[in-house]
Amino acid sequence: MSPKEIAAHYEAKVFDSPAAAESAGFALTETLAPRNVWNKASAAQSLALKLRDKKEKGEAKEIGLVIEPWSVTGCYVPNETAGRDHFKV
Amino acid sequence: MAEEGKPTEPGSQPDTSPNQRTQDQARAANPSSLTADAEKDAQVEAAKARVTAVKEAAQAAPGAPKAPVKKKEEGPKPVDASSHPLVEKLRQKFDAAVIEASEFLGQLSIRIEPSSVVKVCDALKRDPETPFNYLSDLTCAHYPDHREAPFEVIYNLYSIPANERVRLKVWANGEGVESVTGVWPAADWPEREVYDLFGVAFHNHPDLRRILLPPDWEGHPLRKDYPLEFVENRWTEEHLPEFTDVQKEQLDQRRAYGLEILSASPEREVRELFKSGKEVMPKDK
Repeated sequence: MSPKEIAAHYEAKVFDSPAAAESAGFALTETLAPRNVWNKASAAQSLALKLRDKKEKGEAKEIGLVIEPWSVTGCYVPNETAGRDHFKV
Repeated sequence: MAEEGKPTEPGSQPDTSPNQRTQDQARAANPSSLTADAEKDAQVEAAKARVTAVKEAAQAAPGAPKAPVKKKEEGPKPVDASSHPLVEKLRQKFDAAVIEASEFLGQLSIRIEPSSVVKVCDALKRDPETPFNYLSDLTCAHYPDHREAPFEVIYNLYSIPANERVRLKVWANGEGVESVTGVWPAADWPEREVYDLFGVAFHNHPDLRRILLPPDWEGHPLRKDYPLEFVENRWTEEHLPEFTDVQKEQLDQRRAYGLEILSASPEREVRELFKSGKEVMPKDK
């Protein structure tokens, strides 16, 4: 599977750049910069699985992947932001 | 003057050069040459037709740009193999142990309970009709979406006397499964390999330790959550020695002769590249 397909499988949002993810309220996690497309898919899978665990533990409300040409970065919306949004009117 | 040097167009005035005139005279004198020309023309036409046919065939060939392909039809799917004699035999002996059986392209797969893997394997080995006396392979697959038992340990068995094969599958969680080294001693190293690369433990294994990676390596590389990234990790930092000045000079000499691939230790070379901060493989921009 390609990184985008992996993101779709794990219901993760896809961003083109870290700035786009941050502006959408996502916090960035680790960045992996593999050297070829197969390792890029592996990196995306590894990040997506870690983020999925985070979501299941309740630490993340939403998860995403920043897929750039030479790197993949994990990102998630921390669960505490849900409370903050509640007070924003 | 103005017409000199111009090519003669078809249908225009006939060529009246001395050569052409002699040819015409020869044809008039010998009618058989006329038929020879007609044959030649026919051969040329046939050759042209062949070339056209070849071009059309080339367009339809795989190398040529194709028309949009229709969606492929679904391939063969595994079918239920509960009525297979071997499965029925196993169900008679160990009813609850056999979870399901399927057959795909003539290959029989039986999923069994993890707790009874040794009993089933022992029975298969001692079966009088099809004694599966050869453990062809023992491997594993990681399914992270199968949450309760994400690892599938697979035993490929072969019966040399009966020339039959069967594949046993067992779900394994973090606790691991029972070792089958008591049934097939050849399972020793494959089980160590699975333990090394997937982290599945095999209980009652005589010598369960890593087989491919160093003992203090962290992680299991064939798990789906292990990123295949070429990085220098803690192990390489601790264990790969730095080059001495003499070794560096030798490496430079070998590079000059283009022998570094044959003679240089790749791990050391990679470590040097990382330490110097160079890009290992220039990215294709």
